[in-house]
Amino acid sequence: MRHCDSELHVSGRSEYVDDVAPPANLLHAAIFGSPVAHGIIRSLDTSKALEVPGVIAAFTFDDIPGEGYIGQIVADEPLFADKKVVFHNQPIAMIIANSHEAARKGTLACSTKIEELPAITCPREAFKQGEILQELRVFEKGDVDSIWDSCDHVITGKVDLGGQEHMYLETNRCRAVPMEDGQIKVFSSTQSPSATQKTIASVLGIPMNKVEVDVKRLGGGFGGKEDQATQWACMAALAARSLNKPVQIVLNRVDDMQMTGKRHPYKQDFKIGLTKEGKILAFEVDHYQNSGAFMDLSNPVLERTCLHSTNSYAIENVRIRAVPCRTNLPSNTAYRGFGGPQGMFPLEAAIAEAAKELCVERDWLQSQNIAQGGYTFHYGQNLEDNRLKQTWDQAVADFDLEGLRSRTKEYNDTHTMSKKGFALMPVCFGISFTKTFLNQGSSLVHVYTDGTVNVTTGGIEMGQGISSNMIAICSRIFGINHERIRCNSTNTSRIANISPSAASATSDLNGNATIIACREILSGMKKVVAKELKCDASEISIKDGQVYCGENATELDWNTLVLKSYFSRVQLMAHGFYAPPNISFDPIKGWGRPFHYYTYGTCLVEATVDCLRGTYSIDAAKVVHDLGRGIIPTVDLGQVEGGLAQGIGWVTLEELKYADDGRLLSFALSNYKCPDGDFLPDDLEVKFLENVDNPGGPLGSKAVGEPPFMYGIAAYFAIRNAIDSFSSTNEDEIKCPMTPEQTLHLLYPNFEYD
Amino acid sequence: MLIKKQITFLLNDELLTIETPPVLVALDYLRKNKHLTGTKEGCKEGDCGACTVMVGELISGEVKYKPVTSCLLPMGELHGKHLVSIEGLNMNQPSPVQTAMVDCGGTQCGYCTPGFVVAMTAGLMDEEIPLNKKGADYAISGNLCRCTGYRSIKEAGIQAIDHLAPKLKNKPRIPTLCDIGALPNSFQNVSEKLAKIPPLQDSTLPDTPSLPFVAGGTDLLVQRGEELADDSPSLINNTPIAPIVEKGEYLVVDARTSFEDFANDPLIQKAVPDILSYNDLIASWPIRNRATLGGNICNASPIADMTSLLLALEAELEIESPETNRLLPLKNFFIGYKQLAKEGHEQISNIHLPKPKTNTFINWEKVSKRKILDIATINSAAKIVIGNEAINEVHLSIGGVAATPLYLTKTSQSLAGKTLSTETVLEAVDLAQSEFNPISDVRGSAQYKRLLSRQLLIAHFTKLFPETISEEAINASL
Repeated sequence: MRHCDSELHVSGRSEYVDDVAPPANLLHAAIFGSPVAHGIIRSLDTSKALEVPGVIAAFTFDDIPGEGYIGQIVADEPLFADKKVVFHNQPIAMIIANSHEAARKGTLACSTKIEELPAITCPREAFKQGEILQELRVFEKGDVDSIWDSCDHVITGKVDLGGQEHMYLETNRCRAVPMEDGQIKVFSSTQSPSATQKTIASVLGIPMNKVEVDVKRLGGGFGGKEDQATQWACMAALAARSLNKPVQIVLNRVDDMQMTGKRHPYKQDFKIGLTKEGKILAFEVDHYQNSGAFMDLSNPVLERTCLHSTNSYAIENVRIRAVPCRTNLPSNTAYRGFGGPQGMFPLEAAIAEAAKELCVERDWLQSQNIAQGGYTFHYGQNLEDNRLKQTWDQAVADFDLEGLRSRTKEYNDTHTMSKKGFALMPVCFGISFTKTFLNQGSSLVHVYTDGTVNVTTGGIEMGQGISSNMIAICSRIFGINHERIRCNSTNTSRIANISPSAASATSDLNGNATIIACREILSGMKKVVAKELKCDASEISIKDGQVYCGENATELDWNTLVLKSYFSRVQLMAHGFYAPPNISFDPIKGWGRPFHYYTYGTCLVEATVDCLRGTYSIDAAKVVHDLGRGIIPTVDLGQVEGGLAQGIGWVTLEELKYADDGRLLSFALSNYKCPDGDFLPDDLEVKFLENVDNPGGPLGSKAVGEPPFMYGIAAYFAIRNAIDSFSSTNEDEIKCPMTPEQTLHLLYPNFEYD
Repeated sequence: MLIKKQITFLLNDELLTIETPPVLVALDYLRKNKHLTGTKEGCKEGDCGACTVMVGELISGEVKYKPVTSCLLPMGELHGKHLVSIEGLNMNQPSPVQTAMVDCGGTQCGYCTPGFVVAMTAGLMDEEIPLNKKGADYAISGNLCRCTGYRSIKEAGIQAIDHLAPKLKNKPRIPTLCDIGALPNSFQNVSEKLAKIPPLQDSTLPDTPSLPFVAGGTDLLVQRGEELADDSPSLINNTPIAPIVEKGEYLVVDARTSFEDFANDPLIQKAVPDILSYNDLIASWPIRNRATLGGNICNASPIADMTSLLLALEAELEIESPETNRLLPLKNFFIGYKQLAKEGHEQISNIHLPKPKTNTFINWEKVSKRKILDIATINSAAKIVIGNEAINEVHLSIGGVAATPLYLTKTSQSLAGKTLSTETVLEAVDLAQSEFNPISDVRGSAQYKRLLSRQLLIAHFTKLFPETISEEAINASL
């Protein structure tokens, strides 16, 4: 089986929000954003916009009938700027016109007078000025303060860790259609249909049962449409309801990049203490999260940063301090890994620095400290098995690390201006929403009298293959061919109170719910034929659409079974609900068992640096990954490779640049560069641990969406490893991403021109 | 003022005559006017390839197809041409490219996929693109995917080629692809259909050309697309583009020659032996099919790639208007940031390139954040003529360090007559720094540009004369 939408995709027939034939009288929205990053609005004039031919209406904060402030954790973000602006291009007004072009022209005719205030873009600066979104959080284990003296080596450092643009190929978009009796139907490119439904209801001041949100598929999400698709849907709904006409909003790329938040940049301080034998005795890290203007999801993102600050390593004395800092940028938000990558990076940097001081290989130091079964993390959860170490050992063996080491040394000994390097990255990533209540999934399975099946779940198809997984699960549980099963759009009228498609958990939660629904239907069906076959229902099974009694095929096939069940008045549709057991987490104490289980893996990246030009190539990326028992091989592999690719991009090319006044300088695909086919290596190899089960995942599978992202961190240290063979670097602040600019500076640290 | 234009063209398998605003881009026409929504908008600036289409043009009785980004393709240019969107590639059964993309898992969210399929198919249709891994990679140089990590897409390209290459061996590609079910049969008789379209009787055009001149539009429509959509600028690519010819000591190049045609021209390849390797570092295949030399020069970006090369090649511009026709050295053309030594209505008609003398060595360097489809942080070109004992002439250019593309006059002059040595090079790169004063911007800090410019100027010499100037020796002296 392949990704179920593949054939539609390759022929351009798959439909996204604005590909569906437009309803009559469809109007178009465009956004007028703030020209400055911080200031007080002294005047706002949209009257000129209304003179633009085709423009029909303008909306501002004052036109919101219900609650004007939105936000899933704290409702602190005005849908349109309310008296002040706090980031550049913050939406101030929405122009509605009979064409997209006219609406855009309308926005150009808007004007505002803003008394400009100083903008803050650095989280350290924000913290100094008391601009924090929440009090500092501390996670502690052991006794850090008293252990430093017993360490043979203590190393401190600073990290400047960049953010990342989601760069889903499909920008944010939504179409809202008014229906009878004040209802509204919304087609949105969102990862959170229920949050969208709830927020629209709140903004419009109507009950949730009048708002239907439908999501067919997303042209990529990666977290960027978890919380930040909501506002655009609210705006379209606001205009649609007010004008009683369908309204569509499609952000152009530049607006999307300037108006929506990204992966959080962090500033970090670390301190690591080791014995001379290379045992890490203590690790301390302070995270200053660049949260942007509002809370958005900064709090849970920072929480995961804290939980993953020791990544895969066993350290007995740990202190993690973290604070979300308010800056004049769009609210930074969920992004594949959800703070985990930012948690893991400083420790990897600390290990690299420590390896230099101890004159040992970085990977040796890593291997000496990898956590093994029985280890208890600083938040109280135990590592219950040894599969993390297994992936490391297999990577070292299968990818011939020692051979690579000697080949690299030989290359570097014989080349002056070209150097090779490599690095390993182990990943131990916890699966579950750390907000425990979100860990619930629902599925609605319909079996029709012709034997075909429809499944609807709370999972959003954003390319990750959730629809395909749901079909595969139905197919295996029912014992019928996957071609008889379709997966429907995700719709709040069919599934209520949907958790966002996030935290890698979508397939787990909704897949397990689907199994429950399928089994419920199946159990009724089996009872019907058990009578006829004169056997016990438990002996009946279905394989390849044929009914078996024990080992013996019967005359009955699936279609007959379905019809018999129908005429026997047995239910052929069921709703399944699943909530994983044994998870609980006290966010105040920072203690508990937040994760259902962990996904593990180890990645090796090789790089070559051109020491004349400061450019580099990623030569190979090889992974051993623990997938449990995979559901669909091409889909699972695609998740690992895609996550790795984004992770490599984050630490290499992808650089968000802001001007001091808070304007985003890398605001288009011409100046924000993500990896392309040439940049990513042809030598990309993924191996899965064999014959490993996972009781927590549907069909023994493991969540796969986010963990591979962090493999990309290996690329950063592979490049540094190569640079170390050319020059000795000792920068005040370790900067990520390792752009060609950063690389050349590290190659020639003494260059200065004045 | 908007003056609509009547054009007749083939859209997939349908012959259409429409009235269109000249600068309505094909992407909007396809999606909004025709509801052909397989073509996707990702960035509307030619940087993602999600909107890739093919344009077929009748050249000497044969239709030649090129992939282009439809977001920067003015409809006004399509008279007599064949516009192919993803829908025009669909058959009852998936094509080998489509099958390979499905089999290899080359599609996830699907939004970029039609663009990849169009580009990969275009690669198979172009006789110049080799049927191997290099050709497969070349075809997708303008396409971004955010989901897959590309391994599966690259594998799909190889799979399709492995399947088709034996069948295409020694056969004309397009008819053969049709015969074996890899292209719809509607591609069989396109040349007859296009030949029947009468040339444009353009009575609607005003006597004086309206500005600006739009050639490939790959930068102009990015910067001013929304504004120009309501206007009727002169689409100067509407008349046939002259082939590159030798004229005495010069090669004469029609200013509207695309990057791709320039790099693939045998005369240019003789004059600039490594032009194809430079070409790979400039934009992407679909953009190079549109971007023109004249446009690159007139756009006057300080980091214009082709311009930096042409500066070192001592290019001269033939500048025309109804009243005048004059020649101007390219190095005298830039008088300030985006300020040109030409009147608005004057047009660069041709570029004159002196043919290299014997013992001429040419090199072009570019560093950008991403190697492919990225704007240079610094680019630089060198043309060095070596005499018996010493350097005869040097022409160095550099982009990205000043308000204009820069010809390094002092440094170039200083090297003439010198003996080629490590010291000479180091002195020259030092001197070069006094000729410019870079600023910090999104492409890099001023310090980085200083350092990188030094490195790239050194690279010319270490690459061209590795026996005399070794990277090691230079590095040891830095």
